[in-house]
Amino acid sequence: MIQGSGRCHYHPERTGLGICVECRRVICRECTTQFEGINRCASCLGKRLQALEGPAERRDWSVGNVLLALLGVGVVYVGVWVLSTMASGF
Amino acid sequence: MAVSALELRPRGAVAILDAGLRVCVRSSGVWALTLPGGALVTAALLHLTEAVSRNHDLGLPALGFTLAWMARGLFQGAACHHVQELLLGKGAGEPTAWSSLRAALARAPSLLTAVAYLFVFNALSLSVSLGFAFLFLSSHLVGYAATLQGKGSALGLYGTCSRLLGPARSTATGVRVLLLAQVLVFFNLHIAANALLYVGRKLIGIDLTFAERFASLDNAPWVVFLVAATFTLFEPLRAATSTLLLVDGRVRQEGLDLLAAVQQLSVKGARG
Repeated sequence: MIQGSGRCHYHPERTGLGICVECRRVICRECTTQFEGINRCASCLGKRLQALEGPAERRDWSVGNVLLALLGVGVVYVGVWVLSTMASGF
Repeated sequence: MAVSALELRPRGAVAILDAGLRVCVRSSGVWALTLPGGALVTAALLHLTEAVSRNHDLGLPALGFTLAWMARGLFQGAACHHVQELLLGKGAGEPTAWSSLRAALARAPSLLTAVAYLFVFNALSLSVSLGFAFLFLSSHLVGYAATLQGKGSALGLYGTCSRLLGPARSTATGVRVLLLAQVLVFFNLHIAANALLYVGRKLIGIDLTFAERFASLDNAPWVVFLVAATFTLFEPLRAATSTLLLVDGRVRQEGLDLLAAVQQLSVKGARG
């Protein structure tokens, strides 16, 4: 559904110029980036750029990741123990 | 860029397996980084099998196998880093195995989490789908190579792999199916071992009755040994193909082949 009432969604004091093809919001001249006749707002372009750049960089040696790794070792140990106990039952 | 831009192009599953084999043949570093992990897993698996067949306490052998499996994950990560440096590294010459091992240790927590993630993911997906997941869930084939990229959450590994692979996801399924050639290697190893024993008995005249009885497919420890040996032999190929699949994903999504061609043109221009 198209939002707003002819006013820019990001700058309500300005008159809207077009509609973002992705979020369907009314946007003003400053907020519009037009490519091949298609309007996009700055925030949708930012999201597109983020998607193109891929996932964010990860910090490996954080406390959370080390605890997760230790939990992982525990999970694999329990899994191997259960599987080998099942195998010894045969 | 270590390889020629002409070698970076979108490839099918067979071409990726072929390129992986060539990487394994040319680089001793991949073998140096994967064989220790394979040997540890083989030894731990034989110890576990012995404990299971003799009804011993399973606590310690299971712990040994778990640690070996974790170490194998670290070595796989190091091998993936090594192959990536071989293909895309900026330095001249082959990277050292030690530098790849250091790179894997820098990402050790995520690699260990990836080992557990893949263990649970494979167990759940294959058991719930009665094995059909093998044919339609293959992105995690590049799990260790994707972890080494240092992007995305460790718990969202499958999503990260899918995103990095992009259109190369279907190629990953093809590579996974082609890696079933391991079954052929398993039987070939068995036949080769029995042929050696036969030759030893006939030509040299040694009494190998006990060894021949051990090397039989109805002997569980022998089957386990063959499975582990086959698994170990395929470790370098697994690391090489997963890295090549990620490179293929970048070629298809980012135009890595074109970027490499432009880079190499500018280098040639500077020399000329």
